[in-house]
Amino acid sequence: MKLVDVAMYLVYLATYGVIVPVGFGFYLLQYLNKPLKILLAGLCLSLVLDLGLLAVNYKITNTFLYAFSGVDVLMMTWLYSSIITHKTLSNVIRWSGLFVIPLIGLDAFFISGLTNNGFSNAVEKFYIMSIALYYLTQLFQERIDEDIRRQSLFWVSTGIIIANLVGSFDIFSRTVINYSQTAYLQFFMFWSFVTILMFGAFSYAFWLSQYDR
Amino acid sequence: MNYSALLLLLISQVALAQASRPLVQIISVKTGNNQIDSAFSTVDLHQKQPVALAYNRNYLHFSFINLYNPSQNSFSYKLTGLDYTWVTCTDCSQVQYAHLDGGDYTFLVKTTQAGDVPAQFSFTIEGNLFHKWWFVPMLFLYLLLFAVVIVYVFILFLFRQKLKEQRRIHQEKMASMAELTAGIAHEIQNPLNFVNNFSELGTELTDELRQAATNGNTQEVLVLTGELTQSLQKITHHGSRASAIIKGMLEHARPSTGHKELTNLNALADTYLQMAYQGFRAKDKAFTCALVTDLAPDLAPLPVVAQDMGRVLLNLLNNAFYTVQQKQKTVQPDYTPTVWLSSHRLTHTVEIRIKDNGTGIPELVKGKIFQPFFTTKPTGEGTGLGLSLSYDIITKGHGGSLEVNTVLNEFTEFRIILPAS
Repeated sequence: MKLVDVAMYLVYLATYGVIVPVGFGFYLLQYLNKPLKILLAGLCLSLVLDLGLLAVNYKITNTFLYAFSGVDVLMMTWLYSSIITHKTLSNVIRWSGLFVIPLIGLDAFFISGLTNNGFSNAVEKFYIMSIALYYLTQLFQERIDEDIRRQSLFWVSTGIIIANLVGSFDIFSRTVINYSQTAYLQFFMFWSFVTILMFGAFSYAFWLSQYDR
Repeated sequence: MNYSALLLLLISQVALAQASRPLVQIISVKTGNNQIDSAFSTVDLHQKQPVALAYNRNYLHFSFINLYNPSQNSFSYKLTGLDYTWVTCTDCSQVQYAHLDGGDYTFLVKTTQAGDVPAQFSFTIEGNLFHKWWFVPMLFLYLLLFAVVIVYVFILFLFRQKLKEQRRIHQEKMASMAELTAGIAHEIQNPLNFVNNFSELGTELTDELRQAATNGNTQEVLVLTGELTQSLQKITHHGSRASAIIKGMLEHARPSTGHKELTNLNALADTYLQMAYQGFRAKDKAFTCALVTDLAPDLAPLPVVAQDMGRVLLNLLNNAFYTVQQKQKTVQPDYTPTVWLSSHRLTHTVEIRIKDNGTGIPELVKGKIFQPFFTTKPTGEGTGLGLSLSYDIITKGHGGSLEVNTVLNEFTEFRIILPAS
């Protein structure tokens, strides 16, 4: 089996792995709180886009990637602005999230011309990672007496931080692919593992929600 | 100039030109990218402008031939910009170079004959993104970000652990405060009783004084005035005692400033001995314990953090009273619970010993008693932080040591050793 086959297999597994947390989410829908419902809605939208991609037989993958970035930003902005207790900061996050959308559009149509979303993807991922990191700080400081491992949103944030930290390497993707296709495939295998890990964390967060009441 | 000389010059010029002409001709140059499965494209060798190749067309294929002897396949070649020496191949007519970095190159090829002029092909490969000035800083920035996030999360975790520990310490302090409160109430009640009694006595003496003054009995006035003065002095004395107890309690409750000040350790230890004992007596009226103190009179004040040291003494004394109380419940009636408090001035150190004839500490447990959250007390009676905190205060806070000597069912003795200077 060639490296490219293994890499592509893992990428598909990671991409359509979204079905696992979506399944958990719907199964435990009655226990989900507001932020987890937002997360579930975002994941459903991602799944719809994934299936859409499948329907068009990957012909417009690049266009879809910009759409994925947009959905990601909207979902995370909505999620975190609803749980960050600092009112001003919550508003700042909401508005800055909305400003990232035109940036993705700008990159899509005027900068990269729907070919490589590395730049807007990196910006989007950095933004999401920052707000998740801020929320994690808040969680660590405010819920001292509770076991952090039993907190759904701890797992959601951890998954998001790890995946976006790795994903923001995408800004170098074009350079890497020109230098070495092997290195690029290896990076994507690593990215797939991390994404699977993130969906695992989301699933566990949904599972924990039934004990949160 | 004669014709023969002219002919000779012409022949020599032709010979020279013949000698400086390459015997080898580069017949084709193809470029491609071996990382992407794309087709090779042929470079036009007759173009006049310098050949510039994109950074991803860095896989080059050169073909050449010996013009004068096509069957001759021995060549020497060199790519200036990459090779340092000539490379000789005996049976070849083509050469490939892959992964060429951005830069200026010239491919030279000649026959293996000495003095042959090489054929050449010059080209430039544009630098790829790796060679852009911003790429490496950006990559470093990304790696830095990666490291910063990991370190930040780690620090956050440590910070949370610290917060948790502080909260537990606070709980421990509140628990010891609760224990103290009963003792303090009892301690304050005594001087207050004295204050009340002597106040009433003072009122009576004032009435008698007024009566004696009305009668003009100077002798009695003087006696009564003396008694009134004594009564007021007692009120002042007991009022000060109550005030000192409250001050002690506030000292204990106040967060430690960490500031060392000269403190009379004997007085501090004695105060906390009384407080701890009264605390136990308040909770268990039947509990009695013999208190034996042997405090070195020549003990000079030491620079210590009084609140912290008080906390250590209280922890150790509470443990001592707890263990003798537990033993009293289980052994024969002739057992006399006793707690010893002594201080000693040694050559370079000062030692405070707190000893009890309680249950002692099993050898298995002895090694764990200074670990945080380790307790042998039933749930709700101890946080397991008392000895751990005491150990930290003495060792880290004061550069001393805290040692334990115990025999099971016989005694336990804690020794606080502090540097004398």
